[in-house]
This record gives sequence, structure tokens and C-alpha cells, in this order.
Amino acid sequence: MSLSIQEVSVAYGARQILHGVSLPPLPAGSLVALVGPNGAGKSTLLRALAGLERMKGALSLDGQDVTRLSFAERSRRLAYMPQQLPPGIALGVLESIVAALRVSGADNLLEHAFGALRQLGIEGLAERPLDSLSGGQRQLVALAQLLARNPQVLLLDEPTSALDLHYQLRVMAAVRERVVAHRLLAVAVLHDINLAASQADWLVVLRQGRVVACGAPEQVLRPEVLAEVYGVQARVERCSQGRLQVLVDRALV
Amino acid sequence: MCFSFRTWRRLLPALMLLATCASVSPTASAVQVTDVLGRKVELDHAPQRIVLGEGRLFFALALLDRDNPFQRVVGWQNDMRLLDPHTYQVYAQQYPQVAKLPLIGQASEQSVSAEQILALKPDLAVFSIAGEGPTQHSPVADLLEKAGVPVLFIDFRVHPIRNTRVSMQALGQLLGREAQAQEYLSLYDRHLQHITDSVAGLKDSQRPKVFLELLAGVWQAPGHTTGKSGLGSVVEAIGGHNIGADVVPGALGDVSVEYVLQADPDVYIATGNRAPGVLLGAGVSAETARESLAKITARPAFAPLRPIREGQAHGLWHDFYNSPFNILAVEAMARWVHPELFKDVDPQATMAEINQLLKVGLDGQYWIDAK
Amino acid sequence: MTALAQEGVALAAWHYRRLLWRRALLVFGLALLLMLAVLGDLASGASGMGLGRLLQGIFDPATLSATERVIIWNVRLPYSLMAVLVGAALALAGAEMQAILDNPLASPFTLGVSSSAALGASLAIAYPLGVAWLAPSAQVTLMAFVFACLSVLLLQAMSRLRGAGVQSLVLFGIALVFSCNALVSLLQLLATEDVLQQLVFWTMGSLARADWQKLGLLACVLLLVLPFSLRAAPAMTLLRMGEERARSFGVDTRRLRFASLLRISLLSATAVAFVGTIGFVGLVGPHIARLLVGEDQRFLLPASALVGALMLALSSIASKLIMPGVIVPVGIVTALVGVPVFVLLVFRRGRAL
Repeated sequence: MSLSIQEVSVAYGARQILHGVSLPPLPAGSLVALVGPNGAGKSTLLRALAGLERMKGALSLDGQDVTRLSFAERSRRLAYMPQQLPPGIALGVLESIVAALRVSGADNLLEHAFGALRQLGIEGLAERPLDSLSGGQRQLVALAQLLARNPQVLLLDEPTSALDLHYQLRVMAAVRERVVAHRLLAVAVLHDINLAASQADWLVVLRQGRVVACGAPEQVLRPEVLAEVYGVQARVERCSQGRLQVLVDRALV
Repeated sequence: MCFSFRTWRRLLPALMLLATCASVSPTASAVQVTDVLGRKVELDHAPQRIVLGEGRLFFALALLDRDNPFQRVVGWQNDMRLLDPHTYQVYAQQYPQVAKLPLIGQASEQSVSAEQILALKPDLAVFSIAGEGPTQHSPVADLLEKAGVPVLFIDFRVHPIRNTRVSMQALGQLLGREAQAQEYLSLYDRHLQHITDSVAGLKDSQRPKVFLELLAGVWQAPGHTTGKSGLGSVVEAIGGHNIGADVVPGALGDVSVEYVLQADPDVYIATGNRAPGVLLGAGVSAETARESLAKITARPAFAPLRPIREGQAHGLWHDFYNSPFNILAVEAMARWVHPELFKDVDPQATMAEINQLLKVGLDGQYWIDAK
Repeated sequence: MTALAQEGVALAAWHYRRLLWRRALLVFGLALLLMLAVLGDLASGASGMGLGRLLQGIFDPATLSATERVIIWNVRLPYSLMAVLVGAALALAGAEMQAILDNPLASPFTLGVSSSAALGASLAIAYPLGVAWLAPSAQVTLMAFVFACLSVLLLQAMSRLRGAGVQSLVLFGIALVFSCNALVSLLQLLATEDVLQQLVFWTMGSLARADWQKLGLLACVLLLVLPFSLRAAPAMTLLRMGEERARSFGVDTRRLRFASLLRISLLSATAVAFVGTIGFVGLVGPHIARLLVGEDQRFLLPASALVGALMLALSSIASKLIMPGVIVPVGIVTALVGVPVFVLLVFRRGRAL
């Protein structure tokens, strides 16, 4: 299974946000991180993939044109997780997943819902109301909501921005684990370049609506690229564990 | 009924006589009157259980059922007790049943309980066409109609000059007290006519400008006055020109201090009934009234007005605006507006005349001059 | 699935079903309380007529005097049923408003629907049309209804403006409240005595305007709207989790919102047109319901309606009993009771509503 993105353009009226973004086929079983400065168009690209933005271009999953699918079918295959955390409302965790499944017309709601919770190891939270959970726990619940639909692609918009360190890592670990276990494709907009470097298999660097670089972290994360895209002088080194690290020295004026 | 045959034979002629009488004069005691709204109200007997939409409408009854004015009243709102506690106390002392009189509301239309009115089983309801009680637009009026209770609409407030007569006449007729009503109305008409005739031919230029400030010192801003209706219409009737009527579009309004100063009124009248305004009404002495008026005229806003500078301000009992005794307001104001023309008009004497028609008379200071 | 896993699912399913049952029981309990409150309302009144006599009067009218019949059929029954229907309509509208506008302070009162209705009614009172086929009182009701609907449409238009967040919607609603109130005050300034009195009377909510025709209409509106509300409930539950999230699950949020606003205008416009401004029921009712049954709209919507009806039925009793023979306007009772309850709710929850 692979996701093919060709010449995707999005415009808001006269303003062009994405200028013909094309990427090599993104394979199943991998985590792709979309990185870049604010306003680069990362979220827009993700939303375009999800079908929430009007786009021009070609998008196909395993050779099938995704844009021709009904929104219901498309959203089942390419599951989108928005940036906002699920609000702390008086709704139970299991309930919230069942509610989401009910609307998308699935059956065996309880089994799928509980199964998704177990996949993430949070089945103990099943009866807890959302308003008693921390932000990180709610994000895991949101992830469970997505997984319960058995999607092929996960589209995650800044899944870790509002979380503390523990949950940042936990959420990304959970995503990676599911990606591997079910051979999913996960495309995540990540704000933290180091998190992207350590977690992602592929990096796509966007700037002003265009792809600047695309490939494995070692290939993409080079001081020249970082200088051009972020305007910072940075070093890229391997830490004692062998992981790639971006060390920012100063902002370039 | 188990009368013996002999009893029946004795009763028979009497019964036949009664039947004849009944057929000859079928509705001898049926009365039909026209109220202030032009509605025909009909009763086949004099009402014995009256509900008053506003407590203060009681004063009309006081002129008719002189010996025992509360004899027919089975329910009222609490406003009379609240607005004229002194008079209320006097009545309560003489007629202890007053204190136990069931309330149908407090002092507003919203507080009126339709069920309470019905529970009192009235045979007549007396409402005012505007005020603090149910009006012709009120659902209470519809309800009473459905229950077969006739409603009489009277008015001493919106068009006092015209409607006081109609109201007293209708009420007097319905209650079978035409004589008493006529007695009051002949007094009323005599005094009113004297004034209206004298000012009949007045040209606009001959009408002194009058500034009538309502609830001076009590209202949230100076300059609260009336438009063309209510007391404003009284000012017109007595040959004055109400400066408020030129600018106030509706019934009541607040005119600006500048407007009043620029209009340069010839006469200033402040109405009041409680502190911190002009103290007037039952149980008030002349000194108290004069002092309170002095405080009002001392306000800097209207101090430059000619009548105030010259010490020619006046105070009037505010609640004449909705009272059958408004003839006293007419006379008092007439004297202030045309002092030369009406120097023989004596509202104090008129009040004494009215008091002869009342069991509990008007006792207090109801108008005051600054000097 | 392993045996252990199956056990896990079964346990979770058991908990889930128990939760649903508990909620259904709570809703049922609310309905029962409501019936008791209605009976209490029917049993109380200045005439002292008890429940027994009232029931006797319903089933055997011939045994009652004309006055008692009027009391039962024109006072107690209509007022009591109107309280139930208006309370239900306002609270249901309030619950939907809070869901689709994502704002816990939303209600027909706070967003200006009641004030707009008051403005419409005031215009009709002050400037009645002399048409034969529409009585002045019907004109007032109609204008109140039309203006209430217009205000909801205005709110809908505002919510679609680019850059209009939910906070700006509430601010707009507040602006609507103040401007409508100001215009009504202006009309009062221009009014003659009796028009003035009618205007003042109308702006204060009163059950005394109830009659069987209005009851029938309001009942029809409620029966018409409720099934659609329930049908939209699952989608609205998801909407509570975030607009984008709901959209990503396939909910057409635009259509959902539009349909909901339509229901809201029907419910609140009809209720306010018939009884005037009664505040806090539409605001506090849904919050109390939420404390009981949570955010699942399948339960929250009917529970809100029941709580609203209960609130108004109890307020109706209080308005009759506080001062014997005197009615304390029901809008005052709902405010006096609603505000402390609301403050209590805010403090109990501690965190944001």
C-alpha cells in the first residue's frame, strides 16, 4: 500500500497556499513527518489529504483515486486527527469512541472501540469521563478514535504540540507501534524538529507552500537546509545513543 | 318539596301574583351602562361582590356607598394601602374588615391572580383602562368574560376631564346609586364648567406656559413630565399651555433642563407624594409640605426659572393623576395659571364640599404654594 | 481474540450498558418528578381548589360551578401545561444552542432571541394593523415569532462570517439583547398610557397569556421538533468533541448547524411569543441535565427538556404560593432561583464549564 501525492495545490481565494506539492510514493508501515516553519502549509497539506480543503492535483491510495471517493469512505481510509485536543466534556472514554463510530456507520461498535483502547494500552481508562483526564490521556483517546475505524492512513495534525514530554513520547511511540503492527502509513505534522528526527522514517520539509526537501532524516537534516528553511545556524550530530540531533546555535539575521 | 295539598292551595294565589308581576316587569332591575370604552355593561341586579382592579379605584366607591364604602368590595390590589397609608389607616380603624380584604395582586398588572379573582365569585369587576391593574388587553379580562363576570372599565387617568364623569355615572348607575353619583357629578360639573367656560375663548398667546414636573426630586432625573394626556390634558383644560406637550411624544417623558430653561415657563408646578420629593397628601401638614417644596425649588437645575426665582412655585398631590377628586387639581392649577381670572375659585372650599359626601374625608395638604 | 480479551470486552460492554441504563433511569425519574410537579401545580391556586376536586371537575364537569369550571379549564390547566411546554421548549433550545455554538452561556435569553421577540411584540402593540382577519393579539404573537426567528437567522449569519469565533457570537447576542431592549424603551417613550402598560406587561414573562390554542400550537412544535433533535443527537455528541473532529468523522457540520438553528428558532420563538421573556430556564436547564446525564446528546436533549419543564412547573407553583392571592411573575422566580443554582453549578465544577 502506498500513498501518492502529485501536484497538490490549495488556494484561499487569490492567496496560493500550496504550490503543486509532489512527493515520492509514501510506503505503508512508515511514519512521515511534515516539518517546516509557521505558515509553510503543513496543516493545509494534511487537511487537503483528509479532504477538508479543496485541492487541485492527484491523490491516490494504492492506485485508487482518493478524491473520487465519498467523503465517508475517504475519511474512513484516511483518518484525520485535528490539532485541538478532545475537550474535557462529560463523556466517557469508551462512549466517545462508540459515538464516533456510530456516526460513521460502523457496526460492532463496542468491540472495535474497546479493541482500539487495548491496542494503545489505555483500556483501563474506558469508564473514565473525558473531563477527568489529562491532555495527554485525551490525545491517546483521540488516537483510539482514529484507530477504531481501521484506517489505512493516519493524518495527524500536530499531535504532540499541546502535550508534556511524557505524553509527547508516549503518543508518538503508540503511533509508531500501530504503524508497524498494522502496516499503516502515518503522516504527522510535527513542530519539534528533534522529535521528528527521532521518530520519523521520512521527513518532508515544507517552506512557503513548496517542498524543500524530502527523504530520510539524515539526508534532509543538514545545516544548509535548516538555515534556508528556519533561518537558524544549527549543527546536526549523533547523540551517544546514535540518534540524530539538531542543535541550534543561533538565529540567522 | 313536600307541601300538603292545602298549603299549595293557599300559596297558589300568591304564586300567581308573583308570576304576573314577574312577567309584567321582566327585568325591572336590569341595568345597562356604557363604560369609558364604549362597551355596554349589563347587570340584572345591583352588584354585591365587586373586585377592584386597582385599590385606588375604591375612592370612586367611597363617593357612592357612603355609609359603608367597603360593603361590596370583596377583593382589590394592595396599591391603595401602599400609596395612601394614612387614609388607609383611617378607613381600617372605622371598618376593620378592610385589613382582611383579600388581595388579588400587589400593585402591578403582572401580580394579579386571575384565579383569586374568580375564587372571590365577583358579580362585577371594575378595572381602569390604564394604570397598575388589568386593562382591556389583559388576559384577565378575557377570563372574566368567559366566566360570565361583567367588567366595567373606568378612567380617571388617561382622559380625566372627559372620563371622570362617564366613569362615575356608569358606576353609579350599575350600583343603583345614581342619586349619589349625580350629587357628586353636579358638584364636579359645576366647578369644572366654571373654569372651562371662563377659558373657552382663550387664544394661544393668552395661555400661560406651564411646566408640570412630575415626582420632582423622586424621579431619577429632573424634568419628568407628561405629554398631552393625563395631567397634561388638565393643564390645557384650565387655559394653560403645557410645555411638555410640545415635545413629549407619548404619555410620559423626561424633558431636558435646557429645554425647560429656554421655554421660560410662567408657572412651575411640582407634583409629589413622598420623600425626597414634595410631601403632600393625607395627614400632611402645610408646613411640612411647604418645606419639602422649598427643597425642590432649591435644586440648582431649575433655580433660574422665573416662577422659582420669584417664589411663585407650587406643589400638587401627585396622585390626583388617577383620582375621581381630580376636580381639586383642576381648581388648584386654575388658580395658579390664571390667578386674576380665578381668584374666586376656592379648592379648599370645594374639598370641604366633597368631604360632606364622604364618610372619611380628605384630610391633609393636597396642594401648596411656595409662599 | 483471546479469552482474556473477550472477557475485557464483555466487562466493558457491561459497564457501558449499565451506564446507558442509569441514564435512561434518570431521564425516566425526571419525567416522574415532572408529573408530580404538574400535579402540585394543578393542586395549588388562590381559590384553594384541591387536586381531588380538580380531577373530579375534569372527569365529571357537571358537578362543578361555572366559576370552578373556568378555574380548571381556563386558569389551572392552561397555565400548568404552558409552564411544562415552555420550559421544555426553552431548555431544549438552550441545550442545542450550547452544543452547536460550543458555548456554555448560550441560551435563547442570553443570545437575544427573547429580546428580539419582545421588540417584535412591542412594534405590534404600538402600531397595530387594522386588518380584519388578524386580531391585534394574534398580530403581537406573530410579530414576536417573526422577530425571534430573524434574530436566530442573524446569529447563524454571524457564525458563518470568516473570523467569527464562538466568543464573538455571544458578544453579538449580548449586543442584540441591549439594542432590542433599548428599542423597546424607545417605543415606551413614544407610547400612550395603555400602550405603555401593554409593553411593560409583555416584556415580563407571564403564564397568564396561556390559552388552549397556544398550547396546541406549542405542543405541535415540540412534537415536530423533538424527533429531529433526537435524530441529530449522535452527530451533535460528536460535534461536542470539536468541529474539525466531527467533520473528520463525516459529520456535515454546516448542515447540522443549520438544521439545529432552525429547530432552535422554532422552539424559542414560539415559546417566547406565547409567554414573553422568561430567563434562565434555557440556560440553567441544560446545565443541570448535563450534571445528571453527561454530554451524550441522545440523553442530554430529552433530559434538558424535562429539567426545563420541571423548573418552570416548580416556578409556577412558587409564583402562586409566595404571596397569597398575588402572583409573583414567573420570570422573577426563575431568575431568583436560576441565578444561585447557576453560580452553584459554576463553583461545583470548578474548572471551565
